[in-house]
Amino acid sequence: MKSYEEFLRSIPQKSCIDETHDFLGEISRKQELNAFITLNEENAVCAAAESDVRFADGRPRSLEGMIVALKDNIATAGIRTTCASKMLENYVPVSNASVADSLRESGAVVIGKTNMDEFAMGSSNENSVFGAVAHPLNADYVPGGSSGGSAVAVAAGMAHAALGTDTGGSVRQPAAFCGVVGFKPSYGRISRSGVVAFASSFDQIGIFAPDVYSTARIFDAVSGRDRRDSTTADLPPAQSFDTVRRPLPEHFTVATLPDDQLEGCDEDVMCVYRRSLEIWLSAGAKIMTATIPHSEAWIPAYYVLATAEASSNLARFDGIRYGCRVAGDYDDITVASRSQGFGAEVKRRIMLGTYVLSSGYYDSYFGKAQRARRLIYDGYASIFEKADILFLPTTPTPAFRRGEKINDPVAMYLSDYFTVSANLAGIPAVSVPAGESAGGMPVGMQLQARRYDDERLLQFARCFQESAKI
Amino acid sequence: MNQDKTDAIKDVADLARLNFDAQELEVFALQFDKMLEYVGVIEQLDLENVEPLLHVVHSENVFREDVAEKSLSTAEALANAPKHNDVFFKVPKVLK
Repeated sequence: MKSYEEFLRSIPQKSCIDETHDFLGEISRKQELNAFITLNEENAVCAAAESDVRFADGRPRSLEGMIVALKDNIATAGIRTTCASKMLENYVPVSNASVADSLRESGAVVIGKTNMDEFAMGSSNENSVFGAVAHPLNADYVPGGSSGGSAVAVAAGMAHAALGTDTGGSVRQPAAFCGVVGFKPSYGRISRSGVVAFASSFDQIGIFAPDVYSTARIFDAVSGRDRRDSTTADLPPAQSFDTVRRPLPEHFTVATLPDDQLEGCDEDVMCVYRRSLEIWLSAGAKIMTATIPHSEAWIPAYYVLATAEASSNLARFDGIRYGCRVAGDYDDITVASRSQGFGAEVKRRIMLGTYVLSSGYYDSYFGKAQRARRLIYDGYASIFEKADILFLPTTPTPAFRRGEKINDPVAMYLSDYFTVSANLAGIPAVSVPAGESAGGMPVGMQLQARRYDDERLLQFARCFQESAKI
Repeated sequence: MNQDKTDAIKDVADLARLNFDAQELEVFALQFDKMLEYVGVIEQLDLENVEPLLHVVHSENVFREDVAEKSLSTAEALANAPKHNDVFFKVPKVLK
C-alpha cells in the first residue's frame, strides 16, 4: 500500500507525475488482479502536472495530487461507466457525478474506473461482465464485493484511495477482506447524484484508504448538501480531518453485541475480536452489551427492501434510450435487451423485488420489512443514548475461496450479516484492519455510531487503527 | 418442476420484463425457492403495532425556484442511444 500521507511527506523530492507513473506501472504489473475496467491515463498525467505546479507555487488544494480510483458505477464525463454490466458496456456519461466534480476541484487525480459486481449486486466481485477480481494476497480467494476493484486498488498499491458504494456492506466488506479502511458515512452525507442507483434509500458512497487520515481528507472534500441530490443531509461539509487527530475522550462507552448475535463468526474472526476488546479496555473504555432487535431479520429485511427498490430503479433499462439493445419487434426489444443485458444475480434480484412488490405479497413482505426496519432504527437510537460507538466484526469470516458461494445466493447474502443493519438505519460505519486469520488473510473490525456523528466515528477509528498497529 | 411453480415464475418474469429459457428456469426456480424461504422469516415476525419506516431521511419536500436551468442538448441526450437519427430515438415500427 502507498498512502497519500507518505506521498505528502515526500514532496518536493517526489513529483505527482512520478507518483502517477508509479501507480500506472503497478496497475500494469498487476493486471491479473483485474481491479480496473477503464484507465484514465492521459487525463491523470495532465492533472498530476497541474498538481505539481500548484505544490511548487505553494497553493495546493485539500486533496492536491491524491491519486484516486472510482468504482465504475460513479459517472465520469467522457469516460465510460459500465456498472460491470453488458447493459452499460459502452455507456459514456455526458456529465460527472457530484463526487467526481468535488474530487477534481479539490485537486485529486482520477486514475481509472474499478471493477465491481454488476450493478453493485454481490459480495465477492465474481458477478462482473469483465471477469472476477482476485484477492491481492491469493488469487484463489475473492476480494469481497461489490466494490472489490476499489478495495484491491488501494490494498495492492494501485491508488492512494478509492471510492465505492455501500448499499448493504459493499465498501466495508471488501475493505475487511483486503486489509484497508472502508468508511460508509451516514446516509445523506455524500451526494449520490451521478451514482447509478441500486437501492436508493440505502445507497451511500464510501471511501477506501490505507488509513483514517486520508479517509477523513476525502470525506471533508466530497460531503455536504448538494442541490442535485435532495436526500443529502442539511449539514455543512464535514471537518473530520481536524477531529480525527484528537485523542480519545477520557470517558467513553463501547457497546458490543451479545454472544448469540456473534454465533456465526468463525474462530479467526472471534480471536481478533476478543483481542480488539482488550485494546478498547486498555484505552479506558467502559464496555456494555447491547442488542439490535431481530438479528434473524436483518438480512431478510434488507434483501426484501433493497431488491424491491432495485426492481424499480432498474426498470429504466429498456434498450431504447441508452444501454444494450437486442434486435426484435417493438414489443420484444425491452424483454430481449433486459434478458441478455443483465447477468444472473441482477435478474435474480429484480425477480425477488418484483415478487415482493406484487399484489398479494406486498403486505407480508415489503410492509413487514419496513416495520422491521423501524425496530432496527429505533434499536440503534437507544444503543447510542448510552454508548459512543458500537463495536462488532465487519464480516463473519475472512475472505473466502472463489466459486465457493457463487451458486448459492443465500450463503452469499449471509456474508453481509454484520453490515446491512447500518444501511437499514442510515448510520455511519467504518471497517478498520484489526488483525489476520491463521492463514494470513486480513480481518476487519467495524465501528458504528449515531447518525451524523461521522466525524467522531472516524476519530475513534483512527485511535483504534493505531492501537491495533496493523 | 411442477407446472404451477413454473407459471408463477413466468408471471413475475412478465412483470419484470424478463425472459428465461427452459434451462435457466430450472436453475432459477431452485434458487428462487431458497431465497423466498430465507426472506420468509419476515412473514413470521409479529410487528402489528410497529409503524413502517419508509425512509431514514425525514426531511420535507425540497423545492427550488421554477427557473429553467441548463440541461442536456439533443445531441447529448441521443449520444448513448443504440439507434437514433438527428433528433429522435429510433425503434421498430409500432403500427403494423
